Amino acid sequence: MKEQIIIAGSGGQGVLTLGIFIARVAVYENKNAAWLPSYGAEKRGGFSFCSLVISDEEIFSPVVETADTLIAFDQRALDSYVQRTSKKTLVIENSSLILHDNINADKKILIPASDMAKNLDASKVANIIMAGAYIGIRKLFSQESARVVIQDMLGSKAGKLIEKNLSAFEQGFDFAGK
Amino acid sequence: MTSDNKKAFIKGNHAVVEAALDAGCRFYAGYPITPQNEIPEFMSKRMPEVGGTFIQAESELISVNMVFGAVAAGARAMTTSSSPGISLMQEGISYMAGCELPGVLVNVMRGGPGLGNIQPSQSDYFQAVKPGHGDFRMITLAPSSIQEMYDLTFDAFDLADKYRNPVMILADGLLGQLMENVELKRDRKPLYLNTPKPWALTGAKGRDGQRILSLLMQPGVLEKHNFKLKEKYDLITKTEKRFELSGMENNPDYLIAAFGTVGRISKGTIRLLKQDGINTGLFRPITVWPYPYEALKEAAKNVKKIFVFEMNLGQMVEDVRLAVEDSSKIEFYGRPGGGVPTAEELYNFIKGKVG
Repeated sequence: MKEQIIIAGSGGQGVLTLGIFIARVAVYENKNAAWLPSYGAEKRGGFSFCSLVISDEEIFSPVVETADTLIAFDQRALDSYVQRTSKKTLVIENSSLILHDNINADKKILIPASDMAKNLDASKVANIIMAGAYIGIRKLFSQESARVVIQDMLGSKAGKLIEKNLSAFEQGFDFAGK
Repeated sequence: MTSDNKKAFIKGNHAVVEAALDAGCRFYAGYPITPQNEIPEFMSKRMPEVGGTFIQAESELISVNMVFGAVAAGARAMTTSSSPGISLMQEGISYMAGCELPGVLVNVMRGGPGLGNIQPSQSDYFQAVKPGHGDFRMITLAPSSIQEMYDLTFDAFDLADKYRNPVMILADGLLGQLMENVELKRDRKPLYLNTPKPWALTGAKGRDGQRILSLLMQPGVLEKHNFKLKEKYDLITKTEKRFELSGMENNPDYLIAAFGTVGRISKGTIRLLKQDGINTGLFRPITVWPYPYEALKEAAKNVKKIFVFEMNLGQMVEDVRLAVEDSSKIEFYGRPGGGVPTAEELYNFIKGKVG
């Protein structure tokens, strides 16, 4: 298998962390993964982007030209990366912050991740909700691996935070299953 | 720090730090510049954990000269920067070469000339393989994966001590920022780490005082010194050349020569060509000084064309011309100023030349 993902949004939304999270789930399942962020004068509210290549084989280029999956956190991100999609691209949109799209893709999932995160009283977990949706719909990786990586990445931090992220993940996962 | 080997999913810049500490580096001085900032940032956290010294210096000039001082005192020491900062360090590198001091440097290259930009580039091949002033050589290693960022940084310290010579890791912004799975070789033993350094300035207690100088004013003395350095460079050239050569078992019609990031991207190009029934070999130098001329010459012997791909306007291609007998076989394609080529782009270039 080879999966090429583009994740885009704004600084502070957890775009890069989402990319690292999916990469680590892939690595946990013994895949190769290469994660590449945009970098430079990044700041909260500024543009944020990362690409991710996952493969059973050696990864030659970590640069993603046409995405198998595009995960867009807001309108600007979606509009900027339309040209890096094809009809076959799976598009996951944070519909809380995306009002319209002109993407011609077979598979689209519109998930109000920011609103769902607010309902969980944790606006920062919108990215983990998106992760749940991704893993739920793409079916490349198991829910169990994701749970292990969530706990591993949060590490020794408060158990409550882990619980919150696990339930955020589940909400996204269940949403994708509907 | 654990003594077990450990897999980690980390950035190239972080892999450099882990390798340096595993290799026994206990002094780091540096000054911030993108895209290598994670090195000093992470080093400021990790170096104190192993009892070493981290200093954010006031400039690149001071950083490289602090490293000069630390290695003159016998420590394993490193500084890191990106292209414009490396230009500023060239004076110190030359002094280390003249004094035969084993400093380690990392250049996470970005676009130039001038302040350029912060995107990945291979713009400093020249200033790595033809460094500074004064007729000296610097061992230069060019990684193409995060595993190699780790492995070659570790190697750099061993080579520096083995030859008492500065060694540079020639990486780029992509390799600095990229995260991949890496095996941290916690049980790898550094070579020469405990080899006595009688030349080091460790205080004159119980022995006569000694000096480390790069100024050799008396007529003939410097010439003699430089001939001595040449013997060392000849030995390095004979002993340390490293490269990756693949696809030669298929008697390929074409050969790609590329280093670092472009070396790995070229493997994707070779796969695309294979789908068209076109066999292509890959020559990827790992030491860009000393350059593996003989291996390239041999690999290029029976191919119709050699494609040289770089993220610059054509620098390593000069070494390829020195290596191959018929330079009319060489085709160059480069992306300067921060452009990273895709495998498809290089494939299209080759298809355009071979039909």
